[in-house]
Amino acid sequence: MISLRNISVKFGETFAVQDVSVAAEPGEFIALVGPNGSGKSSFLKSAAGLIPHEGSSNLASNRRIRAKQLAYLAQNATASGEHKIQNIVALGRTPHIGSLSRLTDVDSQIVKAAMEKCGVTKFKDRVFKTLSGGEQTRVHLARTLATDTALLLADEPVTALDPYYQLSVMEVLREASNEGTTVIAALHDLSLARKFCDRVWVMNSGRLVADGPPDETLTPKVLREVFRITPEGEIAR
Amino acid sequence: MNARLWNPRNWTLGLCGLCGFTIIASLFFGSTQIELRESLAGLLGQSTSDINTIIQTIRLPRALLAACVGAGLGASGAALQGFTRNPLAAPGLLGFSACAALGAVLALYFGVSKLVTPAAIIFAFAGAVAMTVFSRRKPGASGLVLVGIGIGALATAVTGLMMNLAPNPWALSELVYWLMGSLKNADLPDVMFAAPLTLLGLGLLLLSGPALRVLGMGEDTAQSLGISVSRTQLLVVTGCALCIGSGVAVAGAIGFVGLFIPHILRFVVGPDEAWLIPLSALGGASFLVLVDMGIRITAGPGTPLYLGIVTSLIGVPFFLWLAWRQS
Repeated sequence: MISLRNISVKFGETFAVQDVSVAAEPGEFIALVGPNGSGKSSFLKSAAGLIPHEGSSNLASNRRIRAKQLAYLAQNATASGEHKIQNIVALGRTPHIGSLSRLTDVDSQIVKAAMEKCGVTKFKDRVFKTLSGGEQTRVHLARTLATDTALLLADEPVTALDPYYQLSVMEVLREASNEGTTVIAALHDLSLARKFCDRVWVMNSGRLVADGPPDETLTPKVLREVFRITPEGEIAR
Repeated sequence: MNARLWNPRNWTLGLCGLCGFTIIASLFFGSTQIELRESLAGLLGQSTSDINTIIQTIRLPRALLAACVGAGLGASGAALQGFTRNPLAAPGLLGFSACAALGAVLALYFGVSKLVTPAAIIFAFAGAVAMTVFSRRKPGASGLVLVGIGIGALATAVTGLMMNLAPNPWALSELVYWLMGSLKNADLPDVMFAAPLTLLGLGLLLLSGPALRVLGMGEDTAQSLGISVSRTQLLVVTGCALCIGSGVAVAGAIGFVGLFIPHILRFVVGPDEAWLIPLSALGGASFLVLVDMGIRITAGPGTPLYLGIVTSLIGVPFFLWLAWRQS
C-alpha cells in the first residue's frame, strides 16, 4: 500500500501541489483526474520521488530501494529510437540487477511475461522509432510491468492514443491491479475512469478535492465546479 | 552481414586487434625505411643504436600516445553523446578541449613551457568543476549542454585574447601551431603521464555506460529506475576531463575524433551506449595511430602536417556524408 501525507510541491512561490494526503490499498486502480495544470503530473512525480517536495511518504527515500517499490510511466515516455523493443523492456529490470550485472533467467522470464501482457512480443526485435505512438506506449507499459513493483504510477498513459489503444492500455492496467498492484493513473477521459477504476482522486489547483468511487466523486457538482462542464458534456456557463 | 557474428563483443575483439595491429605497423612505417624484423629487434634494443633510438624514442612513444589520445577522445565523445542524447555533443563542443587548450596556451604565453602539461590538466578540471557547479540546480542533458557550450566559448575567447596579446609573431606562431595538435614531440615520459590518466578516465566513462543506456529513456524514467542523473553526470564529466585534459596536454587540440568515431561505430555496431564507449575508445585509438603514421610517412623537408588539422580534414567530410545519408 501507499500512504502519502501533506504532500506539497512548490515552483518558485506558487504551489503546484498543496497539502495532499492520500492512501491506497493493494490492488486498487485509482484514476487521478483534474483539469490541465491542476497538479496531477507534479503530484505523481513527487510520489515517485522525482522532484523535491514537502510531506511524508511510506515509500523508501533511498533512490535504489524506491525503484523496486514503484514503477513510473512518464507522460510521452521516449527511448533511444534505434534500440530494440526487447532491450527497452529489459531495462525495466535495472533496479533488480545492479548496473554492471546481466539478466538472469528469472529476469528474462519476467521481461517475456511483461511483453506478452502488453501485446508487444511480436515487435520484440523491431526498433523503437519504427513503432506507432500507441505501440510505443505499450512498450513502455511493458517496461514498467517488467520492474514488477507493488505500485505503478502512470502519467496520462492514454492521452495521445486512439480509442483502441486507450482501451487496451487501460485493460493492461486493470489486469495489473487485479493481480494486486496498486495502479495510479492520471487521466483526462472521465468515462475511462468510470469504466475501469475503483476510485477517483480529483485534483483542482493543486489540492485534492474529492476521493472516492467514481459515482461519488464525478458528480454533476464536481464536473461543473472543477472541470467546468455539464454531465451532458457541454461547457458549463 | 551476419548479425550473430557481428555482435558488440566480437566488434570489441576485432577493434582490439586493429588497434594492436596499427600500433605495431606504425613501428616500422615512417620516413626512414626499417625492415619489420629490424624494427622488432629495435623495440627490444637488439638492433643498431640508430634503429633502437628511432623505434624506442620516436615511433613507439608516438604510437602509444596517439592510441591514448584517440581512445580518450573516442570514449569521451560516446559518453557525452549518450549522456546528452544529442548527436552533436563532443568534447570539442562542450568545452573540455577548449578549457584544456586555454591552460596550455596560458602556460606558453607566460613562457613556462614546462607547465603546459599540468596547466592543461588543471584547466580541464577547472572547466569540469565549473560545468558541475553551474548545472547543479538542474543536472542533466540540457543543463550540461548549455553550460558546457558557454564555458567552451569563454575558454576559446580567452585563448583568442592571449593570441591577440602575443608580444611577437614567434610567440603567436608557437600558440597557433600548438593549437593545431601534434605528436611530433612525443616521448616516453609523455606516455607515462598521459596513459594512467587516460586509463582512469576511461574507467570512469565505462562505469557510466549502463546508466547511459537507461538515460536514453529520458531523465524522469531513468531516475524512477534508480539511476542518479547527477552521479552519472559527475562520472561522465570527470572521465572526460581526465581523458581530454591529458590528451590536450601532450598533443594539443585534436578535433572531430570525439564527434565522428562514436557516430561511425553507432552506425555499424548499433546504439547500445554501454558498448559504444569501449568501442569508440578502440576505434579512436586505431584511427589516431593510423593518421599519425600517415603523417610520419608523408613528412618531407617542410613543415610537417599537424595531426589536429588532418583529423578535422578527414572527419568533416565524413561527418557531412553521414548527415546527408541520414536525412
